[in-house]
Amino acid sequence: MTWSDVTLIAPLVAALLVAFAIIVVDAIAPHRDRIAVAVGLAGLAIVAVLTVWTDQAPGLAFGGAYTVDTLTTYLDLIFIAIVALTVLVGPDYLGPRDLPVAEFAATLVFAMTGAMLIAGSADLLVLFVGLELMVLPGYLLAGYAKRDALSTEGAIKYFLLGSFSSAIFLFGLAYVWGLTGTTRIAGVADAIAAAQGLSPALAMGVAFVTTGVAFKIAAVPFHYWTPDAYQGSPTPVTGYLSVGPKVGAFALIIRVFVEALGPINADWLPVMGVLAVLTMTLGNLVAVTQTNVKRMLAYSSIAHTGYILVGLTAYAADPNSGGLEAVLFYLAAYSFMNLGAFAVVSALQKRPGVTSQLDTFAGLGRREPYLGILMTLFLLSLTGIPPTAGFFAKALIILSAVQAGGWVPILAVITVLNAVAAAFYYLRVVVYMYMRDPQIEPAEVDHGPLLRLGVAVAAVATVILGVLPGPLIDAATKAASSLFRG
Amino acid sequence: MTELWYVVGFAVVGVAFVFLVLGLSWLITHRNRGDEHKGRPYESGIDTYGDTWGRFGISYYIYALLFVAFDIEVIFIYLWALVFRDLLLAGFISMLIFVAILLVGLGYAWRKGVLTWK
Repeated sequence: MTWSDVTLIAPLVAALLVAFAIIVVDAIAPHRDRIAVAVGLAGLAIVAVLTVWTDQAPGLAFGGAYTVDTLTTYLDLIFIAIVALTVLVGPDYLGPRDLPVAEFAATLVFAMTGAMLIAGSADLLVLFVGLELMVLPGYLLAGYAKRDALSTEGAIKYFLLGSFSSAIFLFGLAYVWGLTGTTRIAGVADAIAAAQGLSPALAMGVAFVTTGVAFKIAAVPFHYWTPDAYQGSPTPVTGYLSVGPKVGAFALIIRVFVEALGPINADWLPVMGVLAVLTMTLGNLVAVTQTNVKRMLAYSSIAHTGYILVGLTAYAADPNSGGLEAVLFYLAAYSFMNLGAFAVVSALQKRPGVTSQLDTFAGLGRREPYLGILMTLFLLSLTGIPPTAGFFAKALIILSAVQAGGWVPILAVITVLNAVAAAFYYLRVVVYMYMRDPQIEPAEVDHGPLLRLGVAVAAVATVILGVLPGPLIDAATKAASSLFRG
Repeated sequence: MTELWYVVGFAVVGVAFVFLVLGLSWLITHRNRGDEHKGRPYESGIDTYGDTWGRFGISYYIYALLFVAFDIEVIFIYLWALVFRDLLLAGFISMLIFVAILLVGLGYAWRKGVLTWK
């Protein structure tokens, strides 16, 4: 272990210390939620600064098991933003339900550490450890309302299928390791390139890896756990689950498929293409029939997985198509707009007992104009209407699919058709907010300052990425280019 | 192409194995041959009673969880102690960090009243 090893993993160590700090603060001064949240946010700021700092001197650590490059930094900053926003939004929902806030924040930071470990892993075993560290807190959070039957049910489904898929993924990694003789990602890529072509055993390994990963990103037909887990979880947790583990799993896909399995991209290209079409089509079709907004957003998150997979397919068909940049931009844009939408839902559910049915949204535009306008903004962004982040995200994906050539432009057409279908169920919520009267007069709800700040930050990010997408596109391009060294 | 047949062969054998084992165990165990004791899980010892789906208190799980944490600690510390002289100061500091992390967890559990028997 050298000094540079320590400096390169400084953000990870800091993230762990932040989680410990929250726990210790809670143990010393129990139920002082504001202090715990303040410690968490200050800590996350430090982690973000350290992440940017380590990016100044990128390199490999621990004999090539961990890497810091522009991609690591880019993904790490997304994870930090996701967790910070969730910590802002959470207390307003958890407080009235007597659910502990400090543990919520600490668990999120632990999960973030795992996601950051995935983003920076240059070794398949480190990658798997990071994956488990990311998803285990997720199971815990899904069942956070432990007296609530739906929350427990969702958590059990999420846990069983999640650990099952982890096992499948690990089994696939074992095949890859057995055939290449190394767990280093660069070594695996070299060995696969030297072997020239796909042996049946490697195909089995890739199939298992794909299945495991498809569970994690909730791609059709591996999505069955998603709606129940998302609907049952406490709403801020649902917001986190729909972006945090998803971005983490895509970080894993980039490290495993783009880097390690890069030399056989022509072989996994059709698989990703089929998954993309199935995922976005089924996600959108089922979302149309939902009357519960949380469940609708769950299916919509499945559809968004499909869009992101289109970018990945475009990259596999032609690395110069800009598919990877589009994926990276989409992940950032999706994180802000989806977290924003869930933040508004959880704001409405501040009073225990309020459901997330469509009726809850009736007349919201007049009742709470501030929330109504922001919810409209997030929904327009999810639909992909300019000038919002979602527009450029979808545009980049579609452009990359068109440029990839071959049969991939067909995916661009299907994406556009899907986006139109999706507009129906997103805008239906807007119709409810502005054109329906509430059936029962809902009580006035006083939103906390943290929640206001969280929703505002998500909204500002959604607008800025929609008006001035340039800097983030540049950052995404730089992050993607760090993969093309070898 | 012949390599593909290995995969097919593995799949066929894999599926056949399941039915073979299930079939064999059915052939061997299914019939009592006129002796009801042969149908029991244990032929000797105390007769089993109750339902396997019976509920039991899970208040032990936190103790089990803490036990696992410290069990793992013992595994690490034991090996570490064996090579302690070779690891020098870096090894000592590493173990201090590891134990400190566990102590934070224990302190937290203690403070939260987990160790109080209810």
